[in-house]
Amino acid sequence: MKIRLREPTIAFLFLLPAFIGVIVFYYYQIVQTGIYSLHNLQHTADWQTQPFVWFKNYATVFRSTYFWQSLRFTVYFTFMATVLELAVGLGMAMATFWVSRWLGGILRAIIIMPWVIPPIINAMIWRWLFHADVGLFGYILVSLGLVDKPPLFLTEPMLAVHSVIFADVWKNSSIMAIFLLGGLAAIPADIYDAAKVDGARSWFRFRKVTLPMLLPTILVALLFRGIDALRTFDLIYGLTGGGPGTVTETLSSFAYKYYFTYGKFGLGSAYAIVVFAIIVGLAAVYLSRIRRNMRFKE
Amino acid sequence: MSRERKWLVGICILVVLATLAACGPTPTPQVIKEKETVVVPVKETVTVKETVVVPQEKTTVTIAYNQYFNMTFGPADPPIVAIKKAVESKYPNIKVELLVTSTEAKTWHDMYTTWFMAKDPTVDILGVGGYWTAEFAEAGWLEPLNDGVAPDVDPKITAKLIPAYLEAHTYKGKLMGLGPWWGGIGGLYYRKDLLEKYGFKPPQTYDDVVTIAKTIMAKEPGMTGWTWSGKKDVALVNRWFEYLYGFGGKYFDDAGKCAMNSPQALAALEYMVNLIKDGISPAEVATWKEEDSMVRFVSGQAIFHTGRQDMLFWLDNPEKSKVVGKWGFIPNPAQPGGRRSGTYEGWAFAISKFSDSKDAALKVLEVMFDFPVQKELNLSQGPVQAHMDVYTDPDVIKNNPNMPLIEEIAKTALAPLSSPQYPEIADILAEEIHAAITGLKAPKAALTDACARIDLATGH
Amino acid sequence: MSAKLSHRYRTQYTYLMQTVVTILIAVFCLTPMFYILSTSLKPRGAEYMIPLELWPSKPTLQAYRAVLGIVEEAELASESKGSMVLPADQARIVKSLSFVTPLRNSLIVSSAVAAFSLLISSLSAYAIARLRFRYKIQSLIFLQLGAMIPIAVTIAPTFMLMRSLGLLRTLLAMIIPNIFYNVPMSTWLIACYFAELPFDLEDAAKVDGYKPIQIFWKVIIPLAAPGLFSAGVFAFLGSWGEFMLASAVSMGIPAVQTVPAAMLNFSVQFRYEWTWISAAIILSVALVAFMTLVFQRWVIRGLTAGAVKY
Repeated sequence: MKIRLREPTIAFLFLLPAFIGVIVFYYYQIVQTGIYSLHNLQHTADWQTQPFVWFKNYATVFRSTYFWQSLRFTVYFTFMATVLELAVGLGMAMATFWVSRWLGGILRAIIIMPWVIPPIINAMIWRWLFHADVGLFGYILVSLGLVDKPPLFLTEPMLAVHSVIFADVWKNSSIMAIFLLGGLAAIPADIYDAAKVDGARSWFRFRKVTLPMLLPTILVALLFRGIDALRTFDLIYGLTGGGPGTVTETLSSFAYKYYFTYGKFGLGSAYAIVVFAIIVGLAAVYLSRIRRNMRFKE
Repeated sequence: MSRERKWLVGICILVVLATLAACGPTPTPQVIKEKETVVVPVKETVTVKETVVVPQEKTTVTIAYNQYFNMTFGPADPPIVAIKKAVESKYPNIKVELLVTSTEAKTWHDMYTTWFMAKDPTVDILGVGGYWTAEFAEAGWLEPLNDGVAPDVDPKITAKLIPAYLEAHTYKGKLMGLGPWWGGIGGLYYRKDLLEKYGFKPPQTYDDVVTIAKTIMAKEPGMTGWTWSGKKDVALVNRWFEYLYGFGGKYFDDAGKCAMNSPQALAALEYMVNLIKDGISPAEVATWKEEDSMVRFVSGQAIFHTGRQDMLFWLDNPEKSKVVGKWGFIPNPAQPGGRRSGTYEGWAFAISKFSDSKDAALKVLEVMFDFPVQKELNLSQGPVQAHMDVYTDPDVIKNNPNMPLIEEIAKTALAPLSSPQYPEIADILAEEIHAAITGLKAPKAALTDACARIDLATGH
Repeated sequence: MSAKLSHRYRTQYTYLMQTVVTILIAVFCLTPMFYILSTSLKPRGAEYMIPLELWPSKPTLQAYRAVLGIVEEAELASESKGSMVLPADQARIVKSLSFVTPLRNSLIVSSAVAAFSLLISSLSAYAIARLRFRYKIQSLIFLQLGAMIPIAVTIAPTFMLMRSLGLLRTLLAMIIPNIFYNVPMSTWLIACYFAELPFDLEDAAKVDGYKPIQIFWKVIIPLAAPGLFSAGVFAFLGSWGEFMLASAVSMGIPAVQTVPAAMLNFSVQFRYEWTWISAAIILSVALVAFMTLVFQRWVIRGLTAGAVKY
């Protein structure tokens, strides 16, 4: 017997494993989290036997001043981190193209390095570099004579916020640069040559040729990083633990705390759903962007 | 069409099976628990006297505790070794295993929460902080030891344990654990030599401390006034409780609402903040854990230090300390109207509700709180222990000549705040107090916020 | 003549500037790792010495031996003057926390994740990029939207799911979810690469009598190797660094901890031993760094066709 599968059927079969996994590990989990968030769950996740409380957990979340504070920090962190990462990443990517071929190869290898470091290990690294007594950063500032004694990078509120952002920028400028390298490589060389022949100066070339050509890539990379930064957890957990006070607590670290420190699965789930809702907004923009640029076989 | 659909369903199932099967053969190290049958081979047992070797059913009892169970600081075996030996001689068919937890109380606690949420049967006996008892008991995660339902601890064992400590591990009339196997009480260390040199007596009130520190710091350049642990952590909360009660405040009012926004509490927090503002305590205290905070005192660079009693046992050891013979240890001071208080942190052992060998676990627990092991614990780790005979044992007194100092401190012991919401309350307090001492918030605002959040957490 | 000279100066000036820029970027990207490397080579306790040494005067591999659990009691004894913990106890603790186990676990987890997520996502990417069916874009968005969900949202139910499957405290509890955490991104990267290949490949293959699965396996996959490769690296790195799930499902048991979870545990247990912590950091980064370095050309090439191309 010979089987003839039509193309849509084959496509369906090919997509099936991915779909099943994504449903089980993402969509089902959201539904489950949603169910948790409507129950009063203290030190248990058996929601069937626990009281159903409608939206009481959400009310608690929105009433808490610390939710709004962590939301503010999360948004500030995301904004600062992505903008700085874009600036640094773009600089590094442009430099790679600008320098000679030989140096460019070296630069690419160097730029990719911070990207491979796992976030929690990144947090460890910066904990040591920002050490209050023998941290490299404080030491450099002191030897340059800028300050008398090492600043308390992770204890003073304003410093702590920006130390966290700096640590994130250090690691993630790298992936930003890699994305932009891809974008730059895709700009046809003859456009440059044409601009050069016209006698355009380099700044003008950058503004009028490179930037517009690169803009879609920049936008997608920004959205990609933005979504990632909104979910930041590991870095905070390892570097400041949310301190000083609750100044550097992100929404994700709040949710985690409610789950595994306080055992309040209901309230933690409400936090998680709120994070999800915020991200969906950004994700919608991201996906519509991607969709517009589709060039698949129709 | 229908034939095609049949195929489709068939292949669907195949793909799912293939995906599952593909995940199968990966090596999966697992903590193996349950009963293991150990057949002792005759040839290898040279020292075994029995001629007939019977296969024995061995039950494994797993104890969860941190790395300190693997260490000794005195003339005795590390605790886990002492326990293994004692259990082996009394119950040869029980095997004791140690599962090492985190030394950081917060990570440690979160680890337990995940185990309990998973209803994990691996761990039988858990080391628990006194302040976790209420939470775990309320959640139904611990096995009550005196409720008339097995396992219940032998009254002969509990009769020898100090009642006040047992009280701290009792929740709603039910004994949830035995303790402490080791405990800490906060007190004030001071430089006896310096105070004598400048004609001061040991301080009685918090104002005394400031006066003394200011005078000596002016005359002895390079000296730090007062060190304590101010990292955003449980240790900071413990220190805060001492100031709170020392200034006449308390945790809750009679209705169970948070009372830490009272004028007394405000005075206490303002005092802490001023210590840093006036330079008596360096700004670094806000980054110090207990181990960091003691460094300056031990190396002779600080006049006062607040910490647990455990430093007593090595402050006179010249290898570890530069202040041999130059120090004193007294209960924390108090302002008029306040209570001299040292926060008591006792580490107890409880039996998990989800344990699969509770009877064996109870036997091990009883051995751990019987005199021989308690004495070993004292010798290896220092006091305080639950067993009352330990304190009069000649070996113990010989090993710890500073033991009598503890009696004074123990009188001021302050029971930790007991609430099923303790982890959240401790976090809130750590955050707010830390915000105040780092200058992020005014003390009044910090306390108002703390109480509002605590009442929200406890449902008042 | 003068024009030529100025041109030469210009070239030299440009060359100088290029070198300066390269050095600046290198300093920015490498200083932290360099300092960690330097700390890891210091003898125990020397990391707290002031003035700080940027590079140890007497480099030693002692910290690495401690981290790998092959340190001798005597060595610890000579180094730990003033420490409250006895050398014998320390040696035992160091051995019990050897970093070999987490490195091995992470290798198993990450390789398995990379392999399976590549397998699954190349299938789905092929369908999306090269097969004709309705709801194509919807399928892609369905997958992508999943990837936007923070692990903080899914961690609690995933944990309970792994519990009911009896997989807690096994590596499978990390492998299976991580495969699917990486599928959406991999699908996207690979699909973009597939779309670059000429569409008449299939028709030619059909003429040669290839079945659909053969076309996929024998024609498309080999041609898309760079794209697959960079997706694989992404999946490998993603699961190498995944922390929240790993620390929840390993439940603190060293035997099943991957590098990030073990790293946190290690840094708590040896809070003041920064030479050791640094050595552990270097060990856990070295392998992935080396891998990425060797293959960086392919990774970037794969990405060029990938997610962020307009």
